[in-house]
Amino acid sequence: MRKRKPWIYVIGILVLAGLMMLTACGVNGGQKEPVTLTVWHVYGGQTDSPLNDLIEEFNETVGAEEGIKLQVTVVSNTNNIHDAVLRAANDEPGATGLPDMFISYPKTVLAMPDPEILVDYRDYFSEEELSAYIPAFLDEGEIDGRLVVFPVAKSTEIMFVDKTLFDRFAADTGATLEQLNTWEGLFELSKEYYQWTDAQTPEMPGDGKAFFVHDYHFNYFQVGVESLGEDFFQGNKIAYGKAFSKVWEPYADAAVQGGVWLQEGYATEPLRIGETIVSVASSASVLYYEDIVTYPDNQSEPIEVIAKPVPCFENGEQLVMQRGAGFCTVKSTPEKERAAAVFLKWLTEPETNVRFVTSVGYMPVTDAAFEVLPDFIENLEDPKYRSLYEAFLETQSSYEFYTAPQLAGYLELEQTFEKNVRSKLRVACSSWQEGEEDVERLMSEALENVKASLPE
Amino acid sequence: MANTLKEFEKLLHLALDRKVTLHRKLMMYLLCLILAALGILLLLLTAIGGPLKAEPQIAQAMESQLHTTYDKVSEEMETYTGYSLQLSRELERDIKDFLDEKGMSVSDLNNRPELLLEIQKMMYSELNTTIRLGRSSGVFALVNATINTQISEADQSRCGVYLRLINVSSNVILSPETILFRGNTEIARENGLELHNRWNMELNTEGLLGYQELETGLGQSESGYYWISRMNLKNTWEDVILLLVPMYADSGEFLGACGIELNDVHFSLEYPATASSYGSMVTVIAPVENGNLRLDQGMAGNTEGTWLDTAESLSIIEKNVYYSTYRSTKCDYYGIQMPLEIPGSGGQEWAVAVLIPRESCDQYILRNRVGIMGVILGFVLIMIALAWLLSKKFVRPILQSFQDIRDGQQAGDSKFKFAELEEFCGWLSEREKPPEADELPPNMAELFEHFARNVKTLTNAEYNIFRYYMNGYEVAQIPTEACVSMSTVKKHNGNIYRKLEISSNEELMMYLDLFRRCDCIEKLQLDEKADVSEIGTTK
Repeated sequence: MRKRKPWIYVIGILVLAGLMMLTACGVNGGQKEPVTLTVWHVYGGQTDSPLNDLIEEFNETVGAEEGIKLQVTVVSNTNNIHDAVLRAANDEPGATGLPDMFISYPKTVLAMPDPEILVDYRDYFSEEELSAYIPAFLDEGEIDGRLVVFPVAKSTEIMFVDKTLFDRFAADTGATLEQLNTWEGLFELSKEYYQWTDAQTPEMPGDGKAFFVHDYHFNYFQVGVESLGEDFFQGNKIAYGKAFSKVWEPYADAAVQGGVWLQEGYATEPLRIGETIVSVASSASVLYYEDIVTYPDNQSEPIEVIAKPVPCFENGEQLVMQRGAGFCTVKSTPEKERAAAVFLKWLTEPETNVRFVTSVGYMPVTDAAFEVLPDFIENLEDPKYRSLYEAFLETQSSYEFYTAPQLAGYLELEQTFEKNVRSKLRVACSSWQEGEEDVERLMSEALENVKASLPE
Repeated sequence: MANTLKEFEKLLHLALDRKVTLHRKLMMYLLCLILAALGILLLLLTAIGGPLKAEPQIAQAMESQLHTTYDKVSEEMETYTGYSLQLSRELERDIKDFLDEKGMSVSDLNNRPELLLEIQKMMYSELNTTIRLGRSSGVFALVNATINTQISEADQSRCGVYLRLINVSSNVILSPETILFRGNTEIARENGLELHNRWNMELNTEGLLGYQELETGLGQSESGYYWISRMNLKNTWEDVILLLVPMYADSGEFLGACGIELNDVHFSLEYPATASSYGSMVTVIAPVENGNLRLDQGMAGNTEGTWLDTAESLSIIEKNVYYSTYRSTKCDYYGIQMPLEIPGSGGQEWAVAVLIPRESCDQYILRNRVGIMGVILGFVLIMIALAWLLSKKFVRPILQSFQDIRDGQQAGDSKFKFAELEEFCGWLSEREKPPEADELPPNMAELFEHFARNVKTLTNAEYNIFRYYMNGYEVAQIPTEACVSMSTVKKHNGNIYRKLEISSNEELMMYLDLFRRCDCIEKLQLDEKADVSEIGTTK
């Protein structure tokens, strides 16, 4: 019989004790506590955001399983997020730090001091996974060969009509919705509407109302010029060609004569208070249109809002701006970056993606989601949303999509043009309201003022 | 350094070379066993949550966080209160002056949109200053009149202005962008403000707890203002708590109210979660109702690292000396709370609390306990191993020393590890050393002397017989050799035995043998009896 060696037992006990301690250390609190990601997004603005509900659902399901929790700290619009992101990225005094994830257009990324602080999603998505997404949407989020803006929903521009008030106007004037199919028709109606509303209160001359509001006047000109077969840009500047004049004239004519809303702010505002009845805005703005209009005496009236494809020029191509920002993820720890990818994969799964986009007025981003979209549309209860998706499908079938180019000075040009075209035309409109009858001259002066105000 | 090490090595060698006593070794062995036993005792106590608890450390961290948070919350609330009271004073004066100028009471403003617009413009000016200075997420003011008493819900609709920050995350910048949440669109147009996506012309007082009591004069806060617990701003994603300050005319007529909004995002940004070894520490302020922390009516700081759901109430299910355990439907939390000195609507009491998820905390406690137990276990194992080694080292040199003794090792050879063994070995060596040539052991010499003296008492005849014995003859040979009868020999033998104090021939033979071996036989030879010396010289 072999003699037993007592030191074997001692080593055995020591190994056991070591294993116990290692096991105890292995029960790490970090596995139980969630990896928390802060999010700034735009899906809902100041309203009760549908994405927040989906994020809550994610937190309670996949997030709970994977130990991931998303915390929404800002829901605003892309302009505000753009400002906040740039303030944070530039470390401006008073700015809070960047969140882990934020919604942004490529233009915001291009304006950041160092876009390298953003995650390249190719590190977390395989080529096979990326192949499920619509290539054009991915291309839009690619900057310097890095996929930094991830598409989760895409929008386009849509025309919204307060049909209740339009019908009232149409009943008196014989205006038809078909007139809204072209810009020329729309601007003619705009002038007519101003006169008609002014005539409603004979005791108060000059109190006519604008008919039409555009969310982004810059987009109107850009897409309009391109649809007429000319380039809108010449390098980093606007090319003022023949097509530009053709786009400018009906618009400025109606604007000077009070038919176009020229105040700052989004297109939803004047529709909300009955100051305009037709708007062109992102399809996502459907969320902000309420089914009532409130008048200055605080009386509210229920209205019906319908959607139509955006107008086009009589001899122009049917072209429409493709919009929709994407998610950027700020580089941090691998756990957080992986968690962000997990969330984006979940949000762009066909069923989730369609649920998400149909609640905020967007288009899905994968082919598989487009396949299930019609079934979802059929089940939409809100007539406003049903109308929107009908217009969506019509746009998709008969329009070409236009994507803004990635120019270094794009953002500055867009903001300056937007601000100045409204203000210069406001001045011209005031002059017209005050009795100046030479509309041609007012239009021409306004254009020169706009040109002069733009960066050299 | 090298020299120090060498010196240390020398000292170690010297210490090891020192002979350790058995006593000391045994003491060390026992000490190891005692320490191991103490370790086991500590291990058991730790396992059942005895000394070395983590709870006091956790409580200390929470208390520190709570005091810091409490100071900050109190200061912020005081700031809001200060700005709100200042706002109310300014607006109260403006409205009173306006009404005096027009000679109207506030109720006369109903259905007077142009007058109400003027009041809103005054309000905007004051509110715009307050929101820029006061760091709040929103400010509001309303006059107790409506633009149109004919509409439905006119009794709850009040004319006023509600400004909110567009982005609360950047509220500390000098010119925060504001948005018109409630108020005439003219205000927005004049001041270049956007309308909120859920804009309405007037404020609905339904959500302003206690407002109707103020209108009817039934309810007035002792402090002159009060906080309204958390509510959702209708159709938005934001929750807010409101500080409401009523305004009165000199006549006591209720003019309206104003105040400040604190929204959940703002609070979350102001009070980030603090990461600690015990888990994420979250700050909350909430009304206390029946001992429950009504988180659903309060505000939570950033909940990063926790699953805290701010839509539910937290009930205290257990209290120990260190902290309380709060329960929600999803998780439990450890936390401590302090009363917050702010007046709540309807006398509601508020508290500020710091919470840590129980799970992460328990994991820390477990990790801590297992860690301590691991250290103690390691200590116990080391002590046992040391005892085992000592026992082995204790026995081996003893056995070696025995072997050395068997091999004839001498004391002082420095092979012995124990002083006692060396001493014992020395004693044995001393004992086994052969005596000197003419030297007998003291007791033997005395015995020999005594025997020799007794021999001298023998008569010649007796000595003659005795000499035959000395020369090695047997009893049976003596009669023939001495030419005497056997009975004579026996008679002499008897006398010899008696005189020499022995009892038998064998004893006699033994004595003679001893004398012979010690070369002392000549001591038994007597000169006066020399005539018989030749007798028996040969055998």
